Order: sequence, then C-alpha cells, then structure tokens
Amino acid sequence: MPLIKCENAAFGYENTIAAENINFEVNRGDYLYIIGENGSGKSTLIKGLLGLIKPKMGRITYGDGLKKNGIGYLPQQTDAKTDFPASVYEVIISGCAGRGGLSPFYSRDDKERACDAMRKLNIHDLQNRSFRELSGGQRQRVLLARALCATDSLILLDEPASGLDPLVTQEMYRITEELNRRDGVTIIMVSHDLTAAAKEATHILHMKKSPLFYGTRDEYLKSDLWSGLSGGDNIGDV
Amino acid sequence: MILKIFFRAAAVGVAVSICASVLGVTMVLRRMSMIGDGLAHAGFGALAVATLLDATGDYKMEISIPIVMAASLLLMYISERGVGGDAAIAVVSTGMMTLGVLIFSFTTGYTADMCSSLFGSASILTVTNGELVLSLVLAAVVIIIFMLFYHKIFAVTFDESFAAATGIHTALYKVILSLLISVTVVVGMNLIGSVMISALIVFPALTAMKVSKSFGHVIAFATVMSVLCFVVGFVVSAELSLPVGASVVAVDIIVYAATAALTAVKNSRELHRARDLNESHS
Repeated sequence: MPLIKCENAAFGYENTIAAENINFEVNRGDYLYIIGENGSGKSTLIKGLLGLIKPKMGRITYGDGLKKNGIGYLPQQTDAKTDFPASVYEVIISGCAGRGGLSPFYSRDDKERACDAMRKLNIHDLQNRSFRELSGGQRQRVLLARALCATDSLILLDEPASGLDPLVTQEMYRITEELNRRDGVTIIMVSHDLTAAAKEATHILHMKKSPLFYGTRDEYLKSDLWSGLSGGDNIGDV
Repeated sequence: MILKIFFRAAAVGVAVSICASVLGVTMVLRRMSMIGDGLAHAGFGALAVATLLDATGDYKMEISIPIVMAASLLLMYISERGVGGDAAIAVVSTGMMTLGVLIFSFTTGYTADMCSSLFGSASILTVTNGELVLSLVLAAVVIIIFMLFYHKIFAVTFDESFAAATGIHTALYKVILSLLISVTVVVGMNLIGSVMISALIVFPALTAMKVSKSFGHVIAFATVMSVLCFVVGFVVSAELSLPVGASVVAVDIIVYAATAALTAVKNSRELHRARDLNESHS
C-alpha cells in the first residue's frame, strides 16, 4: 500500500484551479522529484499533499502507517524567519509540538527524537546557538532536523537549494540522499534542478499544471521530454 | 488608606504588565502588534457600552471583556474573509471608537471616566477590592493558558504552515491569542488607557528581542523588563502626579531606546573588530 496516493486530484484557490489531473503514488523508500517551472502548480500541489488545502476534485489517500498530518516539511528558504529569536534546540523540538495531543510538555520520547535528529544531521554542537545567527546551510539543516522530529517516514522538501551557494547545495543533496538511503526516509523533493533529479531520484513527476510525466527516473531519462529539455547534455534547470 | 490604594493599583498594573509582555512577544513576532492596538481601541467602545448598561460601573470589566472578545473574533473574520488584515483592524478599531464616542455623548457626556479609559487614570485610581481580585484572577488565567499552550504557540509563531502540516490547529491558537489579548487590554485599560496599552504589548518584547537569543529567554526577559518599567513608571507618576499610563509607557520607551542604542554600538564594534581581524590576516 502506498504512503500517498493521488487519484485524479485537482487543487486550487477559490475559483481557480492551479493543478489538475494529478495521478501518482509515493511508496516507502521512494525518492520522488517534483519538477516544473514557476507557476506550474508545484506549490499548490505541495499544499494539497500537506493537507493545508483540500482537493477540489479527486482524492488523496494516505496509507502504510502515514497519517494525514504525518509529513515532515522543509519550507522554502524564503519563508525562513531570519530575525526570529529562538535557539536551535527550540526550533528543532518544535517539530514534535503536533505529536503530543493536548499535553503542555514535550515527552521524553520527543526529546530523544530531537537528539536523534540532531545526530543524524550532525548539528549537536549548534543546539544552544541562536537560529538567527546561523548561515543559510546550517539553517536548512536545523529545519530538516525539525522535519525529522515530526516524522521519520516521509519528508517533503520545497526547493531546499534556492538561495544557497553551490557547495552548500551539494551538501544539502548529500544529506537528503543519506536520509533516504541510510535511514529509509521517503523523500519528496520539489526542485528546478534537473541534473540533481536525474542523479538522485527514483521517481519523477514533471508538472505543468497537470503532470507531463510521471514514472521512474530511468523511464524519464529515455523520454522525449528529457531529451528535449536537456538538449543532449544532461545539464539544466527546468 | 493611601498606601492601600497605591498597592491595589500597583498589583493590577504588575499583573497587566506580565500578561501584556508575555503575549506581546508572540504578537510582535507574528506581526500582530496592530491587532493588539486595534483591540485596545475596541476596549474604549466596549467600556462605553458597559457604562450604558450599568450606570453604577460595578460590572465594567464583566461587560467589556465579552464585547472586546467578540470584536477580536469579528476582526479575524473580516481579515480572513474580506478586506485584509490592516484594513480589518482599522474597521474594527475606528468602528468601536465611534460607537464609544457616540454612546458617551448621548449619555454622560465627556466625563473624567471617559478620559481615563482613553488615556489612563490621571492619578492613582481607586481600585476596589472586587476589581483587584477579578484583575488578578483574569491575569492568572491568561498566564496559565499561555503556559499550557506554550510549545504549540511557539510552533505556530515560528512557522505557521509547518505547524499546520504537522496537525496543529493554527486557527485555534490565533483565536486563543486574540482572546487572551482582549482580556489583557480590558484589565489594563483603566490604569494605562486604551490609547497606550498596546505599548505594554510591544515595547518589552522589542527590548527583549534585542538582547535575548532564545524564545524562552525573550519571554522571561520581556516579563521582567515590563514589570520593572511599570514599577518605575508607577512610582514616578505618584511622585510627580503624572498620569500613570503615560509615565509607564515613557519608561518603556526610554528603556527600549537605550537598549537599541547599546546593541547598535556593540554590533558596530564587533563588526569593526571582525574587519580588523580580516585585515591583519590578509
């Protein structure tokens, strides 16, 4: 049973539809890239997957132990609050805030999850630093650790590389791949970066309001879509 | 007797200072400061309604609080469904002010009572025992609710869409915050004045954010600063026979300005030092 299954789903706001005819599924251990230009409905689809907006048509089902609000989420860098006074530890453990029901305290289990997440991302030494003093790359790691606190089954990353320098971007991709391979975390990566998608993804969903392509990476690399976009050399953004 | 009056008013002031500063941190960080200000102005209208319904003035707070709470819900409704946040605040705050002025003109006229609800009491006001108890109980309720939801309020304040995606009812916490602010505003209004009470919400938070590095520290520091500023302002107002609200807010402003100046100096020094270090390396 897949973790997420989208059947003929359409998402939008008020009277507009931003993404439609969406059919795909995410299975445990997958590394799905959602690619597409700006305005291709990616962001709207993400909101739908996270349960922030309801599908206008069709449906999304969550299964294999994934609850509706069980997705860890790494927002776009532009949303990061760079002047927010919070310690790294406060930010990370806030990923557990939705887990405890009405309990006013973090449980021992929550604290262990936070420690675990910090260890996986190698940021133990940052925990008492202030979030606003961190570099862009460190900030992304902290937010990724927060996402791990919320879940260990599925993480959705929304263009995690935007605004980061190339070295830090590489590092970000490496960490995500490691989480996928080593820790078995299912990844949904939203990105412009075709090269990275061609390298790391197991599956690709190429959006242009509705999916232009959905399938495995190997199928994608053989498709006309890929040869048209990459023009022979496998470098490029969508 | 004078001393008793003095301490009763001080106790109410301290309680309001604590509530306002604790809630203020979240309000400032969520860019909701103007909502606090709008609700404070709504408090004036609510008080006018209370005077209309209850000429003796014994149940001022009991009547005003639900009205301001209703105004806060209306404000949220308008801002989400209709005209957008800042316009919604203007609509509710001017609407309630207008209602207040009209009611006062039709009934008692412009009285000292009306003035004190706008600008705070001109001298230490007489707080009855009943008001004192009610104020302290309400303040305690505000603090307890805030503490019970502290972690969730942090999560929602820091990143609303993440919080929503992990199953936190973000709209509920917005409503809770608005209601708590409504209570705080009404409790503090007679002492500080509805025009100035939002200063107690904003300034301690801003001061604390200049110096503290974690959310917990910001809350603690803001609370301490807020209480200290209140006590100093309150004593000064008694000594020099100045209005309480203006004195307290003046102290808040001075402390904020001094903190801002000091941190600016410190930051520029650190910048220079880092630059010198870079130059000596190269």
